[in-house]
Amino acid sequence: MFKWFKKLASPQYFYQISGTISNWFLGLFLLFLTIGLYWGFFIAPIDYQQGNAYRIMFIHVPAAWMSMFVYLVMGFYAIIHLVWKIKLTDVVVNVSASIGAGFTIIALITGSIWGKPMWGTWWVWDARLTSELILLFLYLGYIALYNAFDNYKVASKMSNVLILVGLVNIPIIHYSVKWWNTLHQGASVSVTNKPTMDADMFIALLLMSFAFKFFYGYLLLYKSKTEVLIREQNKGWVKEEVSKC
Amino acid sequence: MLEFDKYASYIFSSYLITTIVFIVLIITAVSFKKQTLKKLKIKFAREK
Repeated sequence: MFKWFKKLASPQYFYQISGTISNWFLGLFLLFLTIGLYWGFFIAPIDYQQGNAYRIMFIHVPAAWMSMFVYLVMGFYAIIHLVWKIKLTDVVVNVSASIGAGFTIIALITGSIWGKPMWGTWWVWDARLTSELILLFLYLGYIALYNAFDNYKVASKMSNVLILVGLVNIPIIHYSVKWWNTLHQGASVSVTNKPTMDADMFIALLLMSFAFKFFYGYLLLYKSKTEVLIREQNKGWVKEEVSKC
Repeated sequence: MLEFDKYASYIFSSYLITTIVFIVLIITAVSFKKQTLKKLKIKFAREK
């Protein structure tokens, strides 16, 4: 098990297996997306308070979850890169940033669109919304800082430190609805308690969450392959792979 | 069951924006890969 794990840290081996795995992720993304959208629009009932508007939840909530999850992945791999200097970990951090920023933008915009009919406003400076906006700034800040340096080793070090500093924002986003009096509603889904929503709504939400996860996995592996080719371009195996394309 | 109501435009625009963001992410990834392969092919051809 440990040998396979060690092998996975090899850019060449990673490049070879990630193509197959990313295709599976793409297939699973499309499958879960189709079933999730069908369940969310045709099986889940109308909400007695919000009518059909609540169906925005099926993209807003998974996008918000993914915005935090991707940042946690970046934080985890940033620590490993800073401590053990494994090359691929920096590739994962670098490639995840734009995907995480995309999810955060989706969460913010769909939340704003949902807020207008429900709260009567496009935006409020409440804890949850503000901390999610700060998360977007962290993603954009990472991308800007990384691209500010010519030497990618220096760029990695500086920008990974920024990621670690920003990790404090994740529990703030998560617990903001508990710690402060916010307009944003509290958690309807929790690891320890039964969900407070209809079962069909919850199933659709879970299906869409898995779809978004597989989308992240697909795009992460696809982009990582390109990044690995750039970083390992002086190695012989890269010339062989490029000549095949 | 889905019925069209006053919130239809909000729902539609949310899903549209999500689709656009996903497409932009995929397009940037694909075009970045194409550019990279092109640059590397030129580089390796020069080295020969």
